[in-house]
Amino acid sequence: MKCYQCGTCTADCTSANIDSKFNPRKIMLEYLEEGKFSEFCWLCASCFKCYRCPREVKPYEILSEMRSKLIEQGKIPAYVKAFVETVKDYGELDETAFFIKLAKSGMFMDTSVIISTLKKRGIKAINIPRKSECAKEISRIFLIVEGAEKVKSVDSVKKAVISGVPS
Amino acid sequence: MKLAFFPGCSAKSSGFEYANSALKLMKELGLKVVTPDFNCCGTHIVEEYNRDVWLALNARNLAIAEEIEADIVTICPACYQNLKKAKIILENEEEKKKINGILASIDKEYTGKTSVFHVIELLKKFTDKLKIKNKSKKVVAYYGCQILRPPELGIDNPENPKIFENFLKEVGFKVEEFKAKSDCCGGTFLLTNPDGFKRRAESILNEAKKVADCIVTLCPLCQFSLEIVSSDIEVVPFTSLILNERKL
Repeated sequence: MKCYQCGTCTADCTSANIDSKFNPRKIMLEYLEEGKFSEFCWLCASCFKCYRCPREVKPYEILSEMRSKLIEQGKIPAYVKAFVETVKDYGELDETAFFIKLAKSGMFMDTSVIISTLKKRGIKAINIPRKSECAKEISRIFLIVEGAEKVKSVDSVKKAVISGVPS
Repeated sequence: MKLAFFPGCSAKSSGFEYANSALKLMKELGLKVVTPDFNCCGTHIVEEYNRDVWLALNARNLAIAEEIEADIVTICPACYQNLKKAKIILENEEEKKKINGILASIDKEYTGKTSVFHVIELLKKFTDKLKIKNKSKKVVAYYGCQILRPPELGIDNPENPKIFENFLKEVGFKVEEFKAKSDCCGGTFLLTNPDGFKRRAESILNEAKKVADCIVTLCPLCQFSLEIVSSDIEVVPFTSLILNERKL
């Protein structure tokens, strides 16, 4: 293994610095040596601070691969499912549609501060979700790539929500 | 060169001001800007969900800019990074062939002619036309993450970026040194770790308050994250700030 356990990734890590449960060095070690998956990989902030790895192990890419494999196994956090389905249905991440999908999957977010911030700026935060013009083309791309595989029902998503990620 | 404006998904709501002010500035500068029917870049979330879908989403955006012979200019560092990353992957002929097979079903084809810019890379060429009148405001330039990292997809040296400060100085702002300028805003924690989200944003705001009256942003997600946590320091997208200061 290229990694020599210096811990630079963990020292630089945004997520480790606010929550010591998240330790990218340890998560990578267990994954690369024992094939062990960690539910904490979802706490990565995607900030790429770990690019400084002196051994060029690319911790970000390893955690990203772990998340991909968990998704393949059907272990998909509610927010990932809601994000993907919003893009699939709307062609873009319509923010209202996204929050509705999150709520439907059982992940209620307190959006009051978001709504009041936008209101201060004169922006209506709750709009009727609107599909972009390209929505049909985007749904088609998903359909072609994913084959005829049926979108998993909201119930199965609920069961697949991984503990450790607030929902 | 014609420019295809890529505002990103946040432009309809949380990033409304940033998108509108950027478009307005470009039009004031007399640039030829169009707004095609772009889709979501997918971000790493769709990439991890299904790499081919993610690649096809980005190839479609690049292809529709190609159709109208435009380069893409975006305000969103995540969109910027995703488009650039996809372009690099699509230099591989096999990947390109596979993705064009998917795009054929929606009558699109990717060839690779279009370049991708972040709006700051474009506007920095016009600082002489963007000068502000009131020069008393002390600001800090906040980069956040994805405009700088990973280095192969960033717009400046991630260890000591200068592009944003230099731009603001040339326009006429008093720009202070900012220790937290390339720290992460913690935006994604809004979904995964709400308590951590607040603490992360506060640490950046506190650092800025020591030296400045205003944090200037270039990322819609950073803007939103800092804005919803901030109570006593102004947080503003750089294009809105310039528009406002020019009016005064």
